[in-house]
Amino acid sequence: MSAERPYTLVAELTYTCPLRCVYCSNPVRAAVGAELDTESWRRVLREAAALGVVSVNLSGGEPLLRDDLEQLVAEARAAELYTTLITSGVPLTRERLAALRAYGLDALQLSFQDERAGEARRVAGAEVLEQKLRAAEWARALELPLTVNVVLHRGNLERVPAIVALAERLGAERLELANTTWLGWALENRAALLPTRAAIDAARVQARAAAERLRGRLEVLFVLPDYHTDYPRPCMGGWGRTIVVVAPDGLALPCQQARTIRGLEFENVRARPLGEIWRDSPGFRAFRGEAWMQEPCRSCKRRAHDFGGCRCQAFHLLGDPAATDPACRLSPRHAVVAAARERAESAAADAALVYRRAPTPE
Amino acid sequence: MIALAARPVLAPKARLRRDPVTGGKLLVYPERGLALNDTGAEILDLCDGERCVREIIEVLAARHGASDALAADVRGFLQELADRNLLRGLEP
Repeated sequence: MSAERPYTLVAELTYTCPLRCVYCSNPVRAAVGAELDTESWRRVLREAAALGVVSVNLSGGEPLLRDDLEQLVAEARAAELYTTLITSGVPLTRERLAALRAYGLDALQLSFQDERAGEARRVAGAEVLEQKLRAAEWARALELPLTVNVVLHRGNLERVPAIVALAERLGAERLELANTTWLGWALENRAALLPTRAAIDAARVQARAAAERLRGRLEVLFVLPDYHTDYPRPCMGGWGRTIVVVAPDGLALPCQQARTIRGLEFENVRARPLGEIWRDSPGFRAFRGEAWMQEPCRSCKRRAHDFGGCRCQAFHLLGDPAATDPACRLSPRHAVVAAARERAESAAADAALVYRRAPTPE
Repeated sequence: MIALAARPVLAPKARLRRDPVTGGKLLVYPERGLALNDTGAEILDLCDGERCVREIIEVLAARHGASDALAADVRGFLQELADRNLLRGLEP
């Protein structure tokens, strides 16, 4: 299977973050090397553009903690990349946002935990809401397109109408209501955060009504939760197919969690150009195409749509990254997910939370 | 359906650019992109905020021949972009 070209680069500039969100998608356990320096990131941006990438998401951790962010935005603009800053907004100032805009930043994605300050604090492990509201206001004043991203879980699913109202009030162009994916820190906190089916169904109806009402003004996206949808999500649009992630230490990956799969060999952009890694490295080739698939995926007509689901989920729940994603009801081991789903129906309301820390070596 | 009197123009957040891999046109916008076929690219080239939809259809009809399908295709395409909040100038 030949490599298609990636359209999007997710540049994880740092794993450091002032927040400690309980569903953070950064790896929980990983041996992470030193952060790439400015020149290396600039080269990665140029190599990505040459490979066919047209959009770059500057992400983290908290990318604002890199004091070379302005230089990286300028480099991305020079390479004609559409540049989105994905941030908590917490270390932001009005002046810095204006500077980033002037250097060529195209759009801002701001995360919100909740529209209630106390709940936002409980999930982020820090006082964040007021500063986020200010950041959104600055984006509007600068006419910077704003996406509001909210990770949904049992603590905030019932707040969907209030969250939609918040996004409207902030003048957002797009609202991502992203149900938690149960990897990384979210998997550590799954018992406390996994919602009931009734809560998901109610939120889905509310989100659909909001999308209808706001069509053409505010795009409302409800990302379905794979534990409750019978079939797996087409994770990353397929392994090594349209998205390339570069981690803070330069490891080039098919997704933010891939480095946590034991036994895969990933390569570093310090040692080899990004294009070569994308095309040839064992880690990228491992689950590209369909040759790696087992039954029931191998003969399933949905395989071209969902690519067998999430490899990280298969590894972390089953120990086998080549297994059918257990979120799929056709998986012989779907009971693993079904049991977690069942437990959520009767879980205690306020279980203890484990707060995110920087990744620690295994 | 988009009004014939609307004078659409691409929203500032969207950027039309050449795809260096395919040579075609790509419409990129926050966290997404849309590969345009030749017709889509041609329609967007005509969306300058001055021409109304009726005039855009007339220009294309002069180039390719008028038909009911052409008018429906143009309006359908523009409505699809409008639904994604990618157009301005929609209030006639």
